[in-house]
Amino acid sequence: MKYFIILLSSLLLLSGCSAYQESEKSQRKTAPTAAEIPQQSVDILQDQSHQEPLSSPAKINRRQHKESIILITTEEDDMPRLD
Amino acid sequence: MSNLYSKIHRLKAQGWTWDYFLQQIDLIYPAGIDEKTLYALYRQPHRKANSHISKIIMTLHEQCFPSPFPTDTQALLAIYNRLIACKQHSGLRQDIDDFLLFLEHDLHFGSRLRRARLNWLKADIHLDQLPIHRNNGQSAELENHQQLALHHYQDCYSLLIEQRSLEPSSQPPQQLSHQFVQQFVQQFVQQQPCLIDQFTLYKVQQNMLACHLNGLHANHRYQHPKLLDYLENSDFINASKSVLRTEPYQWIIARNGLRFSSIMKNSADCALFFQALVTANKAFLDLDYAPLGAPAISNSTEFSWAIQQLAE
Repeated sequence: MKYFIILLSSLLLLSGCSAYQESEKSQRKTAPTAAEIPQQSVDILQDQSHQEPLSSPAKINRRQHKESIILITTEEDDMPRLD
Repeated sequence: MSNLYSKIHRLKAQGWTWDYFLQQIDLIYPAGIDEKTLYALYRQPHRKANSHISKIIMTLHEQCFPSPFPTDTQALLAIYNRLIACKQHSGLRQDIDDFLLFLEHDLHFGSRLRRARLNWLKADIHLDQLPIHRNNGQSAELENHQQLALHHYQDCYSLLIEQRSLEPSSQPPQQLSHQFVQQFVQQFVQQQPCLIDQFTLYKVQQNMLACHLNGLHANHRYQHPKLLDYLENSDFINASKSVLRTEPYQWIIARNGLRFSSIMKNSADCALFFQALVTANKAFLDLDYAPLGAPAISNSTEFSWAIQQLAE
């Protein structure tokens, strides 16, 4: 009887350990990889900058100046300059 | 884009034989270039040379016909041309503004030729801005740049005319032996290698015309009273004729002359410039002929009146 109790308790201990390892493995599978972490932080920063209000007139001017640039293709029959 | 056809013709027109021409090329580049390539570039305005051959011809041309302007101004022009050729340059706008600021101050100093060239360069920068403001519909900026370009080209032109009036006559004394004339020319070229020729003046005049032309949208530029008024009152057509008398191989000048004579509806000038075009190269007898860097005459609407006149 004594040996039977020892065997039973050791079996229970072993099954408990393997169950813990399984849960750890499944946690590792669902956890984000190292490469994904910076991506998340970039997204957060982008969101923050998107929501950031224009605080100074200088910033407003700079943004307006950038927006006014239009990609131009000149007309083909323009007279070329001579040097 | 450099016009190699005219440069090769100008070099050959010095009285060079083909052997001498090839020898001069060998001095610059010992491996030389294929003589058939050189002949083809001489005969065909549509022929495109590779960058290596272009560089050799340009170097030889620069040796024989050096620029009349000081080298520092030529270097500035080269820097500016490289700057605007680099479309990916992130600070392009700021660099152009800084360039203009520098020139605004610097063009008041130095020799007459230096001031003339810096005025020319500043006018070039303003001229290059016209298509951008025109296409963006920014009429105030367009007008401003147009006026500044015209102002600086005009100042340049006046300085060049002034310089030309101070240069000694290029004609050697009459009724002298051939040997004396040869010596005179040699001495003269050594002492005064950089004369302001008719072609240099023509180039400024063409740029002034470009200020008027490029400021207008393509669909109504050839009927615009401002352009017609400029053509009527400027000396552009006569300057074109004058250059063609000394350099008959300049097909670009003949083609421009034909274009603006057609716009002005002057049949005599149309006939004259078409003849000049054919003299520059017989290939232009075919109105569908497209030389390097220009469309065929038959494909350009501004030549249509001239084509009608020539057909009658």
